[in-house]
Amino acid sequence: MNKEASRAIRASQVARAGAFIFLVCTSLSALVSCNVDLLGFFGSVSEPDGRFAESRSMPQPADVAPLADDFSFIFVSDLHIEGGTHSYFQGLKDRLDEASFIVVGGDISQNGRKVDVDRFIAEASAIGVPVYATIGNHDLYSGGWDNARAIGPSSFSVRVGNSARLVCLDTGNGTLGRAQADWLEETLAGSAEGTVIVATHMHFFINDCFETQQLTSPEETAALLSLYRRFGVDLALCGHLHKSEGRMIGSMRYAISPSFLDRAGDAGYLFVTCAGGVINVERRAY
Amino acid sequence: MRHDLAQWAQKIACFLIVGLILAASSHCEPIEAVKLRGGFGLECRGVAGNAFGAYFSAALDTQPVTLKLAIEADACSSQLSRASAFDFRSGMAEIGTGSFLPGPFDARLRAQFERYALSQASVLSVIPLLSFDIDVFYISAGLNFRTFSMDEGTPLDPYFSAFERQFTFEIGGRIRPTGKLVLGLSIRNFDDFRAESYASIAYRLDCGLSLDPYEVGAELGVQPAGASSLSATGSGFSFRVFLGRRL
Repeated sequence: MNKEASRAIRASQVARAGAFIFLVCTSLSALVSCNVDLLGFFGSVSEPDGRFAESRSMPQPADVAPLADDFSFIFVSDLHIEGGTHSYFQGLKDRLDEASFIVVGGDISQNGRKVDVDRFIAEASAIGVPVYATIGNHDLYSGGWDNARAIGPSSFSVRVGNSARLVCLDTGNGTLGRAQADWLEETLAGSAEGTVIVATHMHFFINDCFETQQLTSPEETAALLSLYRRFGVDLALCGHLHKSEGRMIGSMRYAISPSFLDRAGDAGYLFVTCAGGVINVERRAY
Repeated sequence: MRHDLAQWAQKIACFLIVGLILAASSHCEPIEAVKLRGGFGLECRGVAGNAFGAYFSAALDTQPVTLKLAIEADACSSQLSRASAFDFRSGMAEIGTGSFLPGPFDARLRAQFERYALSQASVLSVIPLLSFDIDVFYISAGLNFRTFSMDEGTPLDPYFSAFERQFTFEIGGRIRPTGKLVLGLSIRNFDDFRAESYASIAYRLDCGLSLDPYEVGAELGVQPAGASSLSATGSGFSFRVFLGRRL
């Protein structure tokens, strides 16, 4: 091989190596500029098994006071409080319409900041009815569980009056974790109430090509839905999608709440009525 | 209506897969460039990093088409399925058009079927992909058309079906330090971890050694487990080895 050919091959190899390094650097810088926590790829500071264990040791939310067999409540999700205020959430006080309690389906804060969590706690305590809240993925950002634990356990079960049970699950990481999955099965198996309602932040199915996330694994979705069916869950409430959707999964009603962003024109919530063993879910605009 | 649509989509997809496999087989004539490769691997999947699997694959690569078939068996020690025995999980077929398209472009169709025995659910994915590959850099993108159904043991009569679409992509690069060795790095949001999250990106390192007529390849993949990269719970990884030879 002559010198020229050898030089050309070397130049080609250098060019390719350069392009390869450029590709790697571009990818990394793109991730960084998108505010992606690279360390998050290898384990966040909070994972579902740890939060579940902590939640079990916390004081559990009180049952909803005895109600008539017919009752109603509000399911609201994706508040994304940022800047320590949420006038719409405060305004729910005037829109209760005889709802006995409120369930908040996660993404309470935008970035898990303490000031936003504290604001939510203050507003929830002033609303006049019990507020039951679980967390979403945004509540875990930036070590958010350190702040969000002040809201209370991330997964819990309460009795609603004499005939219903509400179970709130922690799906902030897009997965239940084994401990929570086992607990859910025990809770559903031990539930003697006629109506069972389960609330999660994450929804189950992709509706659009560019939806970013939901329950991470189709296998877990299948396992969860199978559990719901086996133990006769009547209503599955979800958030996260930021738009309203409803359908039946076998005999179970599946409803996704719209987002409840402060001062947003399309902010809304679900008004749920349980009357005579029949569940009605109504989407209401704020 | 949506339920019926998903059922029909699943039936049509099954028909397409069988048809394409037959069509590809008819093209697999023993020409000089034909390659037969077999592979195996182990993986710890991304969901909470606790489902271990074994992977077997075979690929027949002719000039016009590539046909790849894989069967995967997972040890169901997963926190999700909570079984203790090995269980058949998925079969995957991939067909590429190779030289049908001009220049660096390639079109591929990938299909994958999974059956979750304990929850009696089936997931069928059909992914048409368009690739641009200039060796040192490649990009591949497409849509994952997926039907999810639950059937209580009656697969042809599910009580629930959902039809989903998801954008998928892969970007990667390769270098060839010597004429026989190729090293690659890629990021992708679709692979055999089967994560549903568009934002859950996997990293993969590839290494291939050509010892004509034999080929040895290895893949190492890492993917976060969790809702998004910002709230990941941990990592899943995969390791695969491929052995092959030119026929």
